[in-house]
Amino acid sequence: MNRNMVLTGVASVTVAAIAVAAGIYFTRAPAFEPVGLMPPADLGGAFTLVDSDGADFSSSELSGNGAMLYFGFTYCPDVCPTELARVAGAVDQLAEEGIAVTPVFITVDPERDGPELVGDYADLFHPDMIGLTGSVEQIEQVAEQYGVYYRRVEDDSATDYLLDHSSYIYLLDPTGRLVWMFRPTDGVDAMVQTIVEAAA
Amino acid sequence: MFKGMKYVRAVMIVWAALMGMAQAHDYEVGALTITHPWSRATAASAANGVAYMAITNNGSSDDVLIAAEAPVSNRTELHTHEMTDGVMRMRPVEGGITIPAGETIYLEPSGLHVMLMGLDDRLVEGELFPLTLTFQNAGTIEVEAAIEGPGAVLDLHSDH
Repeated sequence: MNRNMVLTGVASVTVAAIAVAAGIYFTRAPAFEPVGLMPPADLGGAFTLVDSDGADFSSSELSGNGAMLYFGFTYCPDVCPTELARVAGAVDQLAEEGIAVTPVFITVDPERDGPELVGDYADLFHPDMIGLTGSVEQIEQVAEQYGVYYRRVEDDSATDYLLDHSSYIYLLDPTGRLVWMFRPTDGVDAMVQTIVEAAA
Repeated sequence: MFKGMKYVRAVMIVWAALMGMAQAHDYEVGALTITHPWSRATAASAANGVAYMAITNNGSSDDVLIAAEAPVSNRTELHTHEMTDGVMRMRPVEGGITIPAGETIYLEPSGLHVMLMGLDDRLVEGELFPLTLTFQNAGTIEVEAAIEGPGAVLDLHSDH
């Protein structure tokens, strides 16, 4: 028993030492290279959608802060959560740098994703994340504005259809202008650093 | 101050990775080893969930994961993701997931996965649920999937 406790103690100290060493290693930042894409000039713009309370939500409510938009759907258990967690992680890191960015999830599946669903889904990833839906026409319009591709893929049952969709993270500046797009392969730290450098 | 924060975060990440590895769980069935089946927490209203794992074939002949079943969902499908020109396409895997002899196949975010369709209830972080896997040769095994955070991305490659 005693020996076990000693071993556990030794193990904890060793683990802590490794953690500290690795921490020092990781803080030595390598040379910085921006990630992402400059969006085509015709993409972006103001939009009005519906928030998780069922009320109209105008994109002007985002101004003052930056925003990161992700278009997905709540039926998507694999790629969308990965991307939304990346958005949430980036938003938290940016807050530490003094850069306020609002995370926003917009569904491309308005027929299934009502206000409550998008709100629940957004809450899962970040307490400040805004979940938005809208009429089929409103979603079509905002998707077109941002060059979001989505297409319904019929499965063997009508309720279980899937969606093919483009998967970018859109960065809006505090005036609501689309300034940058990130791809799924862009790391969170690199996204944050890209934004920090751009804001400096 | 700011450097300090970064340093603390790096330590926490390493700590979490080590803790995660300590809790990794493996299963053996026939010539297969199934490493750390895991899932993601979902919203209360979420219809779908997901399960991931690594499957190593230690034998000399290929095997195929032909089905997965979980009591937490009405229906389960084996899916893969392909990304072309920035568009994600999720599709059922026809004929199951082949585990070639001597290789490890990773079911992981943005790739192969078990899709849990029609969840009865939310999946809560920190809990486990049973998952029955059926292989063409190795037969059937019940494993427990560990529910991680909603957008967790575990890297099981480092275990091998």
